[in-house]
Amino acid sequence: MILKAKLFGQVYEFKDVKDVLAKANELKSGDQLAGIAAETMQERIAAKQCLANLTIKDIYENPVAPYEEDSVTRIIQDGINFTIYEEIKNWTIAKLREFILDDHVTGDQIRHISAGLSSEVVAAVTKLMSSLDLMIGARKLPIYRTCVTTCGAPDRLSFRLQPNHTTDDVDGMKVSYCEGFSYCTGDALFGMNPVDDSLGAVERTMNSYQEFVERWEIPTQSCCLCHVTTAMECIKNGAREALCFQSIAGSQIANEAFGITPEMLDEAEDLMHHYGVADGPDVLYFETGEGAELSSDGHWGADELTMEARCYGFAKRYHPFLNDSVVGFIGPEYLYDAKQVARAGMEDMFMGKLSNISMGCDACYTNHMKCDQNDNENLQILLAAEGCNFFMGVPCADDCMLMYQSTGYHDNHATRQALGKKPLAEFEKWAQKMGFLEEDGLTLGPNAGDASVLF
Amino acid sequence: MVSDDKLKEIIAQVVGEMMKEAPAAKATTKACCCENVSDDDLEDLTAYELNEWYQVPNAKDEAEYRRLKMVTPARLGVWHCGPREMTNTMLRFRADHAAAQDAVFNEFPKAFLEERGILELQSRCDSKDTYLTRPDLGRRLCEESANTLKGFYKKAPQVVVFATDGLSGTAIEANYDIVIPAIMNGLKAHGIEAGEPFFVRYGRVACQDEVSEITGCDVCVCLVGERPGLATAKSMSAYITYKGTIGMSEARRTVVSNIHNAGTPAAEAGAHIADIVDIMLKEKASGTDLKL
Amino acid sequence: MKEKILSAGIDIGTSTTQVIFSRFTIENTSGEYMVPRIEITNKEVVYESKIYTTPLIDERTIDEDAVHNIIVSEYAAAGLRAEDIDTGAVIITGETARKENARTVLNFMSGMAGDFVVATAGNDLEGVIAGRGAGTSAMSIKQHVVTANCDIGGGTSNIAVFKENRPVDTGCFDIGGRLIKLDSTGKILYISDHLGKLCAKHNINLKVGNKIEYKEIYKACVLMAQVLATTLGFKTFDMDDLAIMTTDHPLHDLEEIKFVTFSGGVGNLIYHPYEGKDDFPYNDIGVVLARAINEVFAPFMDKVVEPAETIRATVIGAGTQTMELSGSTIAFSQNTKLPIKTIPVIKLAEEAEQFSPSDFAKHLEPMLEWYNDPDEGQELVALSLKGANCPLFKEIERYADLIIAGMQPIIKSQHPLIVVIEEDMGKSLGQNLMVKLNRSKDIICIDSVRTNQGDYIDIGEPLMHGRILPVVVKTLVFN
Repeated sequence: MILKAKLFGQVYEFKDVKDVLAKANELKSGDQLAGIAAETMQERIAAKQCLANLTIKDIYENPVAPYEEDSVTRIIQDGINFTIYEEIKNWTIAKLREFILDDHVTGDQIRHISAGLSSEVVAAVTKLMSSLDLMIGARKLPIYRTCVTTCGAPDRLSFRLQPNHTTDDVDGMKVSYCEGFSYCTGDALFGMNPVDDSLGAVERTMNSYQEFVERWEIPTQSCCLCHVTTAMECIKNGAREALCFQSIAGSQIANEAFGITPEMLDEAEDLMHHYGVADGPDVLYFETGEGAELSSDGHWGADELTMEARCYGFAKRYHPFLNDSVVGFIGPEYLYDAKQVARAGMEDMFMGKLSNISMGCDACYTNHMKCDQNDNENLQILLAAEGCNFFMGVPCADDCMLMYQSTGYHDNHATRQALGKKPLAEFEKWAQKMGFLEEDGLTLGPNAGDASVLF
Repeated sequence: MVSDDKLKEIIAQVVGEMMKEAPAAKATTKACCCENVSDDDLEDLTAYELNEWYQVPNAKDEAEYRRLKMVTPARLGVWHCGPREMTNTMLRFRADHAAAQDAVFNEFPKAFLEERGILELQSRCDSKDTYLTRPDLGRRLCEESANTLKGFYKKAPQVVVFATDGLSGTAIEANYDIVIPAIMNGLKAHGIEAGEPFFVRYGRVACQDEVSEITGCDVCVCLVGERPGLATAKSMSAYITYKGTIGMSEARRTVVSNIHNAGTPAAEAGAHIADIVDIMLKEKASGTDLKL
Repeated sequence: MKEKILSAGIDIGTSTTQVIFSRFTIENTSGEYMVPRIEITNKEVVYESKIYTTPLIDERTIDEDAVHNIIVSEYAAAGLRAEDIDTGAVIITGETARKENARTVLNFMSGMAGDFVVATAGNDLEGVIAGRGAGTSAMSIKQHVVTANCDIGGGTSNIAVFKENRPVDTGCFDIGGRLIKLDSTGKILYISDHLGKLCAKHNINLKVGNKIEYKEIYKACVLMAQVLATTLGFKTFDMDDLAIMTTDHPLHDLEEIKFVTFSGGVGNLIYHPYEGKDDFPYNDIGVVLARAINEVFAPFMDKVVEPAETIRATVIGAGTQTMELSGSTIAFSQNTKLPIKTIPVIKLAEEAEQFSPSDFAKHLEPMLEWYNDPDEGQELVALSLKGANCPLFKEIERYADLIIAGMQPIIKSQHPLIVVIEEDMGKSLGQNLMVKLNRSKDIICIDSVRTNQGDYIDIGEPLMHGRILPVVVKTLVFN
């Protein structure tokens, strides 16, 4: 294993694999904050060159968090297919990149070898890929998952309806979700972030959402985005819920900061299989985001991208229906501006797919980041073209509760139109029946934009 | 190349001619391009409450739609052109975002401090940009400011109150003149002495810990601009500590957030903060150690 | 932080007497990191008595002992003692309130029902309480429309009009089920004066001692129903009839009423007509009056809505709707003795709040003088103000100056300085008053409570660790 590279006659040396991975990363403010980023542009490229020549085995054998001390590392390292790993372990990361991009290599072939890749390897190859590389690679990897309905078809694009309200007001949420459905948002899932995370409140929300879905026979999955322990308690009490949510991270320490353990998620999956309203088999929904590990001091000195890849390696164990990366929420000290957010969004999409995860993205930004709605719309189109399974949907892109901007009801269907993608199949039929969508599956119907059709 | 003087001359000439022509032009332009509307009559896109912004034509149940809109700040009932927002909705969103971004990125005006004779200190950040990307530097005072603060009070005040722009200088501008006298008045009503307030540029909340150590105060009140949402850029928080020290646990801060006109009015918030300070001095604790 | 308090509601009406007990949950509903917002988050009726016939010795006298026994037995049945009750109201409604022994009844009731129970009556307040208890007031804010409730009991119909959960108008008429009483053979024992006049005007033949004739009484009831339709603004019938049947005043025709609800015993019969064959099952005219109202209101049926409570509206209103909480940021001196009951409220027109302190004082002087007894000196009064929304600190100071200039007689007296201000500025204003009065005067400065000239208020003992004060605003007291 050579931890050196030469560029314009100058030799760059790196401490270890973790150092190479960090310095090979595209510029991210979070890596600078952590003090691990390349100091110069040339050092960054030298690190990429060094990384290109490392083997899958070199990376696999050097996880960024020690096996003995980190449950996420154990899940990732133990979870790979060793037969496949043996076949490819001597490939360089450069070869892995070229294999993925080869026109004659199919998505199924990529998925085959991906069973032998640890998350650090997934991160490594991502660092060697440009935006278009990520696009070409990701598009080969449609991921289908089924909860109540099925998502993942490349000619379809779905959205999470996120009718958050500052006080969880029942009427306030209702007008929001009725309007969202009328704009054909809500086929991926129908799920809000509660302000009040108490049992009674969450149970009421779960039941009222599921009741609404049943009353209007909407082909979608309901979900209340509370902590997994709260959700489990409610479902044990008889609350009706299709998907169980949790935020997850790429290290044990960071997961503990979220108040979760791997066993807890095992229990949640099992509970949903027995008591959820959906037949599944995919019944969990996760959220991740670059920078979460650093902000909870659980990054083990590794870069944001590598830690994010580990989230997907961890998530894989639970076969989630959906996983989205909340890419612009964390703030400029982790992802500085629209450019860094866009790069992170594209990387996450590719890494998720290479980890065999049903990927969505909360393409979003806060007001203390150098980013505006145009940037966010650009990102949505890029990611949709990359094969993103779903985005969020909030009224006019403005989430009045979480105080950030995401993708809006009016952005979502426009993105479908721009790329010729339709809603998920069952939802398309429902929206047509309700007059929200025309027969072509792309033009909005006469009732679109009138929430009161569903009052 | 035209010299500067020549340029000025040309401009003066052109302007002069325009002035001469102006009265005549006024009589004729009304019908063509430049209607003369008084500033008061101009419609302000941001003057409307979002609650009242309703434009769905022929809704199935308009009365109920309007009623439900009253209970949510979300942008609903806005209608559409094709899949996209109507122009007024789109521009209103952009206006609100512009206000939020200006609150974060504009420099806090020096003139505001000079007019009021407020001492200005600075964190270890040298710019807004550093402030945004280096929370660690925002938590400390720069060397020069630390030295200034050392000599600022003749003896250690019981209570120190200061403001920092944080993520919204706009919030400090909007609330300072109300909340500071309200706090000082409230402290006086409790018979508590407070030192003269000051301002820290590019500060994070935890810079109050260094302030506490340097001044030797018992209670430190840090007023900080909150990250703006689209609804308001003027929201401010107060973080209050009892005998803060550098590196102490965040759980030791008592927080009063959401101080703005649509949240808690600044005067009442200031009065409430004064009551909290009084309780802190009696109980000798802050944050989760203090039951309010 | 939650606090639970118990409230009693007692309604002694012309025809029925009822008792309820309810439990209020008071909570801080704002986040941990915010200025508190303390609200009543739940009201749960924990006990309802049966509906008693109000015991009378004769037409004009309540049987005090019998009423006393009813109340005592209901407390026992609910497992409560007088000292368990934190708040509530006793209401003696309708004609009964004018009876000679009402004051005695109220006196023993006050002792019975805990420390903070108001003894109150008056047609305007009764109407408001019934409308709140019926749920009509809540309907006005939920649907953003003007609603009215018409509480028709034995002796009177009290109408209250609500807009956004606030009463905006009231009216009272001598219209009720017991304006005529019969014996078991159908002979008329009693006719009220107002109804007698109405019958005389329209040549309706009803006389004490005669046997009642259905056709005649139905005619009279239609006329009374028309008076209600007239005052509600649905259709104008006969203004002279309206004048004859008016108790104090009709509605003032201020707002167009979108929905009307009916409560009280007769109100209940409007929605659930008596199904027996008998026309006078209760030996009175309640059933007939309900029928007549249904006929007269038939063209306006789209405006008639059934409320959440009918026959129990008043007692529920009394038990659950009389107490309110002050704002959550207020100021009061720790050594002020509470509760203080029945404090007269003085208020100038809102424009006066823009006056200079000396002009403000000049206008306030005669009002304070009114409560200045030559022998006993200045009586306690509370100053009511509108205040300013999101005030600058300069505004706070200006208000403090107005109050200090205007309330000198109180400031110089032994009484605490009590200010009730509508806008959210009580704490900063109170603190400023304390500073300006050198922290040497007891002050109570509460906000978020709306009061008017001529009101009386009760201020209770502090709740929620001394953060807030419970308040009862009485627009009319029994006298």
